Amino acid sequence: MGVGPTIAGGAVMQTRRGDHASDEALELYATHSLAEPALAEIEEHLLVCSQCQLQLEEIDGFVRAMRGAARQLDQEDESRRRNWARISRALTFRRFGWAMAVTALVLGAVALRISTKRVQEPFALLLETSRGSGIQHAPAGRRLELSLDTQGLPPLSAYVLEVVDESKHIQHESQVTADHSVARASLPAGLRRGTHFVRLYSPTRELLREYGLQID
Amino acid sequence: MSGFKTEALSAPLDSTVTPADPSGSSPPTAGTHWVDLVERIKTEDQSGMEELYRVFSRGVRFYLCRQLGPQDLEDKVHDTFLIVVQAVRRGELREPERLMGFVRTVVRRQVAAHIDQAVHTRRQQVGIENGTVVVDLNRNPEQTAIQQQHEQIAKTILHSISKRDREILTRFYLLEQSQEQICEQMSLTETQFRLLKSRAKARFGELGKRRLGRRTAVHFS
Repeated sequence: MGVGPTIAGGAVMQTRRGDHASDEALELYATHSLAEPALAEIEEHLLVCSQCQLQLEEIDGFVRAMRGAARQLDQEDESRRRNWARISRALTFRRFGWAMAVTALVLGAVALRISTKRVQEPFALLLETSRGSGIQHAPAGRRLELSLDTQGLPPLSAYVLEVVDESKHIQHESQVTADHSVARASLPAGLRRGTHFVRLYSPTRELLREYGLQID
Repeated sequence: MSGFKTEALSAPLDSTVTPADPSGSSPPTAGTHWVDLVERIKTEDQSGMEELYRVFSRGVRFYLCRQLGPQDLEDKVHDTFLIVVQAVRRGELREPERLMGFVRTVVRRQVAAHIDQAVHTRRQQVGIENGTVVVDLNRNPEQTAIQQQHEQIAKTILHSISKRDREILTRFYLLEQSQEQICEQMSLTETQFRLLKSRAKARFGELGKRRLGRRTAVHFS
C-alpha cells in the first residue's frame, strides 16, 4: 500500500518521485504499518538510497512529534476528566451539608438584618434645666433625637449646638433652631458611653445653656 | 560480535535486484551488478569488499541506528559486514542477485538478536516484564530540544483542528491503527483520510520553517 509496483520483485520502485519511495510508503514504514512484501521492498531500497533515508528521517521526526503531542493532549484530557470526576463525587457527597450551610448563612443574614434594624431605631429624649429634672440617660451607639428646652433663652434665629465628652472633646456640632421653646437636634451615630454635656451657644459663641447627658 | 549465527538464506527466484547508486541520488539501475559483486567477494577481491562497504554502509548504519540507537554503532555495522562477507564466501547466498535482500535479512537479525540480548540482561537486573523492548536511542540534548520543539508545533496543529480530526490523527499516530480501521470506524473515505494527514504535514512544515528557521525545519514536498 502506497508502494508502487516493483520491477520483477526487485528494489526499484515506481513512485511519484521517480525511482524513490513515496512519502506515503515511508510514512507507513515509519508507523510500522507495512507488511511483507512491501516492507522488504522499502527496507532494501533504504539500504542503498540516501535520499530516501533523509526523507524517512524527516518523516520519523514528524511522526514522533505527532505521537508525542497526541499523547500529551490525551494525558491532559484524562487528567481533566479525573479531576472533574473527583469534584463531582465530592459535591454529591457533601451536597446536603452545603445546602445546610447555605441555609444557615441565609438565616443568619436575616437575623442580623432584623437586629440591625432595631439598633437603628432612634432614642428620643428631652433635655430640660428646670428644678427637679435629673441628668438624662441614653443608650450608647443609638441614634439620638434630642429636644432641648430653650425657654428663658434669648430668642435667636439659630443656636449652635455642641456636644462634648468628659474630656471636652467635641462629639457633635450643629446649628439648631427653636420652635415653641424647643430646639431639636439629631445625632445619627449616637454617643459613646460616658458623661456628655450638651451646650447651646449663640451665633457669637456665647454659652447660653448646658445640659448633662449620661450615656450608658 | 553479537552472537549472531549465519544461516543459509533463500530468496525469491524471480527477483532481479539492481545495484545502488552509492551517491544515493538515484536507485539501482544495472541488472547483474550484484552477481558480479558477489563473485568478487567470494574470490576475496579487495575491490569487491570495498564496493560492498561503499554501497551498503550508509544504509546499514542508518537502519541499525534507527532501530538500536547510536551506541556501539560502528561495531554493529562492522559485525554486519563481517557476517555478510563470511556468508557469501561460504556460499550461503544461493541467489547472488538477491544480495540486497540478504543484507537486509542479516541486519534485521542483528537487530532482533541485540534486542533479545538487551531484554535478557535487563530482565536479570531489574525484572522487567517479558516483551519489553529496551532500546536506548540516546538522543543528545540538542536532539531532545529539537524533538520538544517539534512536539510543540504538533500540539499547536492538534489544538487548531476539530475534535474529530484530532481523534483521527491520534488514532493513526499514537494508537497506530491502520488506515482501513480508522476509515471504517470513523466513516471516512481514503481520500479524506489522506487529505487530513497531508494538511497536517503541510502545516507542520510551515510552522517548522517559521519557528525553527534554518535547516532543521521540516520540509515536506
